[in-house]
Amino acid sequence: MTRDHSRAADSRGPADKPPSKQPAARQDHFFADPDEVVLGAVDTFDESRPPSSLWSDAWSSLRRQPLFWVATALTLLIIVVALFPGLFSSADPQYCTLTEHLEKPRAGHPFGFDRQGCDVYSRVVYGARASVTVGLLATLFASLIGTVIGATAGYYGGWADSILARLTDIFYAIPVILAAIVVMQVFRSRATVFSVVVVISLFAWVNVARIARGAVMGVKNADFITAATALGVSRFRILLRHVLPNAVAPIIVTATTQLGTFIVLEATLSFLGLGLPSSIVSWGQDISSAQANLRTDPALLFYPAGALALTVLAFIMMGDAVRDALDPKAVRR
Amino acid sequence: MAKYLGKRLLQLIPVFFGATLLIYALVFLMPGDPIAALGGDRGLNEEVAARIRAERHLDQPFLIQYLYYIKGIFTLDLGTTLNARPVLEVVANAYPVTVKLALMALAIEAVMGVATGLIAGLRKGGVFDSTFLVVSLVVIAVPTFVMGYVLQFFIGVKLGWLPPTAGTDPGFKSLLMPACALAAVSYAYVLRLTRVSVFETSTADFVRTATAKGLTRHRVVSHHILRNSLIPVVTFLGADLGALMGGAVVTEGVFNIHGVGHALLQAIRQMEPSAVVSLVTVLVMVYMLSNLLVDLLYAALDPRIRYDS
Amino acid sequence: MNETSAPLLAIKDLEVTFRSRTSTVHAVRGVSFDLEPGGSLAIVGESGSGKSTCAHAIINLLPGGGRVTGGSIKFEGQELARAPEWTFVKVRGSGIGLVPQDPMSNLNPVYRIGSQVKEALKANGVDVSRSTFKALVSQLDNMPGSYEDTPQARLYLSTQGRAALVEELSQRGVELPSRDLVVGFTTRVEVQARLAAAGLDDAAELASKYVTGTNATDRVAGLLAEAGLPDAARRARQFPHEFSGGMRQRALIAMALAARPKLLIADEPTSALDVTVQRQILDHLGTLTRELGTAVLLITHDLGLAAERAERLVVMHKGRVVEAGPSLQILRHPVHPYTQRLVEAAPSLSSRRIQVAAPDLPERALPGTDGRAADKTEPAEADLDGAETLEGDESVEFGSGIDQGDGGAKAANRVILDVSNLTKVFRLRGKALGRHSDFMAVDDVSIKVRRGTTVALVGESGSGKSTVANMVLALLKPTSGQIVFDGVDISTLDRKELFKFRRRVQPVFQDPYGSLDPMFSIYRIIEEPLRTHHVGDRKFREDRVKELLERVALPTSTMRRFPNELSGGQRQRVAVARALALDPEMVILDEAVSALDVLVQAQVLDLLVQLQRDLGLTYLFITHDLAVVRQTADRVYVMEAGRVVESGPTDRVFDNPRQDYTRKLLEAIPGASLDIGGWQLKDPAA
Repeated sequence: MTRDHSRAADSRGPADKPPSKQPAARQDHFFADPDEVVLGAVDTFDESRPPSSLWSDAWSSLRRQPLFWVATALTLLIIVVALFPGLFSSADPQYCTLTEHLEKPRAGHPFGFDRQGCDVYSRVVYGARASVTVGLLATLFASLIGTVIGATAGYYGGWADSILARLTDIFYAIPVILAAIVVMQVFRSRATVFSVVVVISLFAWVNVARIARGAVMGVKNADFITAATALGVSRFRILLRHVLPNAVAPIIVTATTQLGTFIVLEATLSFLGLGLPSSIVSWGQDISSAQANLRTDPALLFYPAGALALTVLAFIMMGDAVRDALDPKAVRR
Repeated sequence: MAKYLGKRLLQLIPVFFGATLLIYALVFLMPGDPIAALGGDRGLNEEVAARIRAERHLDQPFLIQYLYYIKGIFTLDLGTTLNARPVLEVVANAYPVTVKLALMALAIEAVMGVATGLIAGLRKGGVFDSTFLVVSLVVIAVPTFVMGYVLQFFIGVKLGWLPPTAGTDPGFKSLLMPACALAAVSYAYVLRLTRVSVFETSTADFVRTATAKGLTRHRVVSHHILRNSLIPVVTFLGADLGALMGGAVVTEGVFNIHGVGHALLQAIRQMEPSAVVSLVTVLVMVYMLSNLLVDLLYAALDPRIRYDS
Repeated sequence: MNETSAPLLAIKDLEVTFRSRTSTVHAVRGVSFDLEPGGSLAIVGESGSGKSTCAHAIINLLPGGGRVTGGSIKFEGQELARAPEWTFVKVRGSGIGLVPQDPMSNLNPVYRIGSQVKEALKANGVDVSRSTFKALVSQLDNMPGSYEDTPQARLYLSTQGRAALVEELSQRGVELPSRDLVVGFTTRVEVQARLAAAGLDDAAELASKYVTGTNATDRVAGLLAEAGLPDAARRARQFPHEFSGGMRQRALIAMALAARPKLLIADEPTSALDVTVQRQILDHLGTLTRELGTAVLLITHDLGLAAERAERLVVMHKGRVVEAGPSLQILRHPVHPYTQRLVEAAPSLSSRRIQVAAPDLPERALPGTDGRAADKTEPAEADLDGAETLEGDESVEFGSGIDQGDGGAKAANRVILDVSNLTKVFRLRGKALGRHSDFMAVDDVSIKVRRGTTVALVGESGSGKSTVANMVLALLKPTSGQIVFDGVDISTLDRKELFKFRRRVQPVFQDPYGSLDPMFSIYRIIEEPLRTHHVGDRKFREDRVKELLERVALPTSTMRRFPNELSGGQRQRVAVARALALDPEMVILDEAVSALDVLVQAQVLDLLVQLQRDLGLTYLFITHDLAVVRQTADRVYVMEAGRVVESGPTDRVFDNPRQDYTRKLLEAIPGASLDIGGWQLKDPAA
């Protein structure tokens, strides 16, 4: 070492070196007044700031977004409606009498009655449950399948990746809506919320898998992974403890964005008559049956359609807010 | 480039077989016996049923059936529907109008999406940007069939600007509204994608260097920012063509257009597995080919790809 | 330099402010300096000093949120501060050119190099004259034949013209070197001069017949050739990704100079490149700008480089100018304490300076007792060392130098790491399916490391040095050769033994932003090795983490923090703490200080040396930075293209490099050519 090591790094300062004998000898040698620019010790740590992890950073940025609060309020409202529809409507959505056929709104029945004479308001309220359940469960399962497949492919590479990549390509080649139509025709009237969830998850995991694969591959060559390997941490443990937590943000973003899409998908299937059976109240079906009276009673269609759009909007806004918070640079999907 | 194309085509082969096998399995391994149902309430003569099964290779093991089906695809012999209509005819009748519809939707979303996305991206955070961001949110939230009814009701019924339904053999004018409904959600995605892409490109180092060379703002935007931002957008648009054709199932239902979606739903209602399989297979092939086209387009747009993989 | 001439660029009291929703940052505060036509000036500072912001403010290319909030920027007398955008469109390119920092991201990946250069020509609608023209004209006075200084004389040679001329010449049996006839670059008068020199009587006629001007494409090739790109016409048709970093930087220089600006702003133009490439490019840029009479504003973090390349320096710190003046004077007599710190910490400068100040003292002081240092450098040893250069057999050399002082308990003399004939071949997938080619990343490398010493492995990117490090860490399997650690061949270790081996050898990596898991708190990061190896209970581990943090001079409260809250240097100290958690015997430092600012770098180096002394550590130091090696290593192995080309004790290698490559590397250290000791160059102040 050429430098003198008796001198600690932080003690280095003005006193170390005698000032130049003739600092102002040349007119064009300018130097600032040393008091003007305060020289701190090199690279000190500011202990005064509160600690913040990446998650708490994300949270604080989330907190500042009005979009997030609007989305949260809406989402909470919708979830409460889905869980306790009885709080919002005393009428039974399944109790329909043809005598009320297309009756106009009146007290206690703010949206009027549909063709079968069912109370439209209570059907809108009770329809939330099917949509929200399908959306949440399908998102959960699709994300799980996608993450496992994508992370395995991305992390282990080689043969696992080749095979899983082909599998992903195959499922990617079949649009979800088509696959769902084909499969759902089998269930016909025997369809349940769960069968819709299974069908959607089975064909919609591809997006998450692709994102997860990319994210895992992006993380797995980081120096901290090499450092963990050099510590003797096992490969699987590295995947669980280091790789996945660092790859989870884009997966969450994709999942939240897909939630809305899945709700639309369920409604579309019900609309086509291939989704939930008529024994379950669902917006898609109500929209489908209101269609016949579109010219005369458009409101019948717009109530459930509005509820559906509002729900999807809430989840999409949530996805947007989460994406902005987790990764300001993320591109859609 | 030829090498790249060859490689992509080669990769497509397992995907083709995998996807068709999957569809075939989904349609044919389902419970229920369409042949038995053919006779209606009276039931079908066992002998006749056996003959029909043999003709359609339904007495063979599943994989053999599948291979016959593949052979049919390559010889363009897709068999007949249960009421003796050639499936090829069903497919050929259904496709033109759907292709027309999908291409119109693609054009609408591409032009509108890129134009608004570019302006929004260049002035990120401005009034235009905020407005169109809200528009995109709302458009994404409204499902295609709802959008269809809304347009149908207001523009078709209330205002009477465009025909509310299309009917058989529709022209450009009749398809305009369905195409808009079909394009709506994708338009929002194109808008958002372009916006983000334009914004990110405009902060790229090479854009700064281009400006430092003394180029005018107009040239920097058109030759550097827009050109580079279009790469992901084009990728999306290409992949979306297949999705639009799939999405046509819904739009065609709303506007009563006799295209693939219409034919598919009918085939499903009438339990016509061979028609269902063929219609879906063609859709999947369109989807695969448009994805291939995207890859090639991508390679053409981004010189780095040609050499990378 | 004419001191009285009006400055080309005059900056006075410049203020630049960045505003965001949450904060306002005064990035540049009251900066003033002048630059004369044809002069050169360097702004030096660490990251965040505001040096680049200054440069970008001049041509109004501040990133979003940044604005000039005060002061004046006068270019050729024209006020640029707060001028409208169209003023800048005119000035950029033709008045002020910019060579940006990172060659990888500054070329548009989708356009061919040539078309990007052509764009610069077209945007500024210029043709060009070079000052060499004048020199040639004066030369021509002594040549047979006549010439005219007309615009025609400045026409460039075109592709067709060149082909026809070469054809005609070969018929006459005359051959000119191809570098004398460069398409789009050589002018008519130059061709005439060369033909005349070749003894042709009708040089003027030939020149005017064949040199009739070029189209833009040929001119682009000429500009690229001028920037030092070989085979420019073909290269112009390639895409950026087909270029190496150095080639890209040359293309960017060609672009910046295409419209012959009067001022060239070079923003860290070579910091992303290998030293030897860096030197070539800076040399070339220097020659070119001198020839063209272009003034240069150089932005750099490297004091040595700045002083070497610019007449005057402006040292910036936290947005202010702390010192400004003639380069050598500032280096020799820094006045401001901050400049003093910088000069002292700059690796290349400090080692040379001390060497000059005390030439007869042993300059290599091993960390540890003074006794060690004294024993260390003996003339005889250097001679012994002469017996080996490539083989690395060190049985006789500096062994005597290691004392048995504090490190004695650990048997300091023993070779702890013995790498012999190590080879690593990577199989590269070829362009065609199924085909592949082999790439020899490491080729027959042998290294010996003695306990308690520091051995440096030096090389440029692609030299294979990091591959060696990964093999020593048992992260990568060698193709052939042996790695013997403490008497055991590590390839024979089973899983359990390998696990134990990992306790003894630990790495610290280059990138302070990538080497710590951003999701882990500092506590978990440092605790992970202990937990993995089941060391102690929770209480023990917590105490140990605290102790380690203190060792690396971080407050213990840091353990509740996350990596994103720490600076680069602090992260690197955490990485060191993690590496030390298991009490390893050897630490592999893979470019561990390369990404840090000089002052922070010096601090981390000091820390490493102190730790070595306290804990008797052995370091294998992987780096591209020879200057740092000189400060830290006992012994150096120089690698080039997978092979060790030279090895020996650090002093010997630095003072008497035996291989051309080593010499080239040494010469390429920025500031190496400077002598700031004051005994060689005249110092006006003295």
